[in-house]
Amino acid sequence: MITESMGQFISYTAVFFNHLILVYAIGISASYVLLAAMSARAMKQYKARNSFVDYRTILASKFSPSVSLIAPAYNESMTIVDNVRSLLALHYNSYEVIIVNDGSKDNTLALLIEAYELEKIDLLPDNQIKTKPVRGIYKAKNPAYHKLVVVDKENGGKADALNVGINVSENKLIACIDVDCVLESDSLLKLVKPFMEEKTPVIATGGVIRIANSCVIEDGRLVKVDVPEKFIPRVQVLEYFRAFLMGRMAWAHVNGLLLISGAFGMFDKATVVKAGGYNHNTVGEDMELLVRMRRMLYEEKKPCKVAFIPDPLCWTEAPQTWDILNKQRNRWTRGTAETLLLHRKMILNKRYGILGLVSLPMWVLFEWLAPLIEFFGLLFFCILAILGYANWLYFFSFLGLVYSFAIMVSVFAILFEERSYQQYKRPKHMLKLVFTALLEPFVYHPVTVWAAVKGNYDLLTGKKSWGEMTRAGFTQKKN
Amino acid sequence: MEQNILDLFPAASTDLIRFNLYLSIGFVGVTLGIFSIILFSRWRDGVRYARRRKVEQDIQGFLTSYLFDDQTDKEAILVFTEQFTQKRVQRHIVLENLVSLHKNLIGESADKLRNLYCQSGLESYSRQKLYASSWHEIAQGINELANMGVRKYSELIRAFINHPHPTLRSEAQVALLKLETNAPFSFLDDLREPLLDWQQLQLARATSKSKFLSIPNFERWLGKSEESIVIFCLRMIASYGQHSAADGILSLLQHPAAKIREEAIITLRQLNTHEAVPSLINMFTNESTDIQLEILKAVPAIGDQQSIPFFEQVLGFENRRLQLAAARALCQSGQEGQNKVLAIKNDPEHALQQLAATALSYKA
Repeated sequence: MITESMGQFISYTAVFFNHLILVYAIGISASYVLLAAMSARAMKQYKARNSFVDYRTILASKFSPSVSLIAPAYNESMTIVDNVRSLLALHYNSYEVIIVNDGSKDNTLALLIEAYELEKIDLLPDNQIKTKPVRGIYKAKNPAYHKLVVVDKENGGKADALNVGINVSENKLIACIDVDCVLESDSLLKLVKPFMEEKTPVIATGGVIRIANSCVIEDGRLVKVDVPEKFIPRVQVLEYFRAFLMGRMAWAHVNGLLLISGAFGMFDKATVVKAGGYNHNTVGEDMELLVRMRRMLYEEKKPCKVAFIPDPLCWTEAPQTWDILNKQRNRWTRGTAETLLLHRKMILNKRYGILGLVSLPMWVLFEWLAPLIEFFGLLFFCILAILGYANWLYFFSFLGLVYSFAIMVSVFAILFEERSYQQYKRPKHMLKLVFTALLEPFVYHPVTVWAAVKGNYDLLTGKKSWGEMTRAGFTQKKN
Repeated sequence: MEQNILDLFPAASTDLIRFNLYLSIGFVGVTLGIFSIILFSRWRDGVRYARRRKVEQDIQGFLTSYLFDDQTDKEAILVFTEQFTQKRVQRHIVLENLVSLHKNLIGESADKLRNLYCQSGLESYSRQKLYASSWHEIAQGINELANMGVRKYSELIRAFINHPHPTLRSEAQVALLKLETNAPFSFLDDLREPLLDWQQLQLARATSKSKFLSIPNFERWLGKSEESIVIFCLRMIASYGQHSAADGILSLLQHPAAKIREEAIITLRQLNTHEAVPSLINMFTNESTDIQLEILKAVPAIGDQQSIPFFEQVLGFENRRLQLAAARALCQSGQEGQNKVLAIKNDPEHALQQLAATALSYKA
């Protein structure tokens, strides 16, 4: 039996949390609106600037910087030969492709040796960053593949493989990519430009990552863009619109960007090396590296900039089963939390400028804690409902509010895509995405919230694994 | 008795519910509005695309007959002005096509197009853009005037070389380079803003594409206080093989800015300035690793076997990057240098055996 005083206590507590959640919801919604507005402005400026750009200028110039493209490969025998071929065919005049075989258990290395006529060479990597031992370095005998370097090393994870690639690289700019991504042929040209056009030194640049599920890939090149047929990757198209076109574009506009996607990003090698390279002890190595680089430069009082461009540069396969999606989001949550905890000193510290006062607190509140608040809020509501303390009318009105706001943000993200690069040309595509936006809050969102809660639990219990990521492979063009 | 959490604040409860409801309706309204904008913009893009294609077809047909038929210029210009320059959107498409075609033509045809551009009022339309408030429109105007070769406005354009917007600055600089063929880089004298790498690239490209440009002696700007201008001139000196600038470049080896010293070393290597070797070796010890690496690239490229003791000395340093660069330099210093590296490689006891193998394989 609940006594009257106990009931009153529950009521007061509930009212307190109710208002707290309302304030939080208003805060998160306002941040979305603000980011969208900043992003729209940044996008407009970018497009105006780019209307004068002829990328062939970089292609033909001796003044353009050389780039080392680093791609770690682990058990990639199904696609490695095609993927490397597409990397070798990018439009850029001076670059090398470094494939780091991270102790694959399959025949990834053998396939590369055979396909690209590789031979082992005596090359001592410049061990500026400590890594697992390198077993051998291979270069092609055939001059047609002179840009290719293959490094074979003991298994040490993605971060370690990238560090080996950095040690072997010869150029001042490095581009780190996932080997199974499909790059647009002009992606290097576009990523290099921000390094050349800013007064403040640029230390990293990222671009928009797109979902390649249901797109047609031929010889490692994207030949037809389509909206994913399956629901799960289709929702991720919307998520990526929101994250890249509305989020990162805005953060870069105010130089508060904390993350360049591990799928494809370009970095100033000297800064990466000075910061110590990728961290082996986190599953969010991409975010952690950038935060560490920026922290180092803030502490040295050296101004720097992290740029972001809205052009679609890289296409990747998104998880298409609940199980794999769960593992991916679990890992992302752990990676975010690990980075935020590692660099907690920066949070609300004015020494770190916009990063310390705005970016990191917002990541803590609206990225890391959002799913936890949502989960525990729902749990609390369920308890209230069981005890008979729920105001159902208020509940449904609040649910309606959150749902309508979520749909509005998604449709706004579709508008961004429409007015920027309109990769999905057919009206059918756009309608499919709008329909997906209507279902997302009920069908997809709870799963990602649960994955994030589980990720936080795994972090507390010390789980470190990446989680096996099985890929279905791209749709190949039928001859 | 069953309660609910907002029974404590009945007024607040209804107010909050009403607030949620109104806001939800607002969000739904905005969502429908955005959706309508998406549909409308798709329809509008389709209409614009069809209209553009139609205008492009018409203008291309007109220009072909204008350039190759026996129609008199006066008649043709009248028809052109009436048909293609009255509406803003049409004028924009016509200008794009005209500029693009003019870029690919020379001689009489190019002159005829320029005449059409000037006589039809499009030139004054481009000039008006120079007085616009948006940087984008000004840059467009400059781009059109420069590509159509209208020289009389170069002083107006010169006013933008120090504009705060980098893209506009770049357009103005490239335009002056195209228009002032006798002194294409004279704007460097008045430049106060840094010449960004991207702008340098644009200028280099425009220089290489222009057939009638008189290339100046870039040595004259090596004393400028703006570092980026000095770096640009060093790069241009290397690109155009201006060996006469060697003394000026050698004096830059003492420059306080590391970036300029580094670029000067690169330029000396590209120009094969043999007399730079003693200075490069002398400055080596006091430089940063990056500059030392550049010296180790430059000396074997422009020096002779007399530098071998210097490379051997660097092999004794503790910095592995310098050791490797020195070993590579030895490999490039003729048979004597190569034999020294080979001897290290063949000595299993030598601490630098693997490094020597790496240096030799790099050469291969």
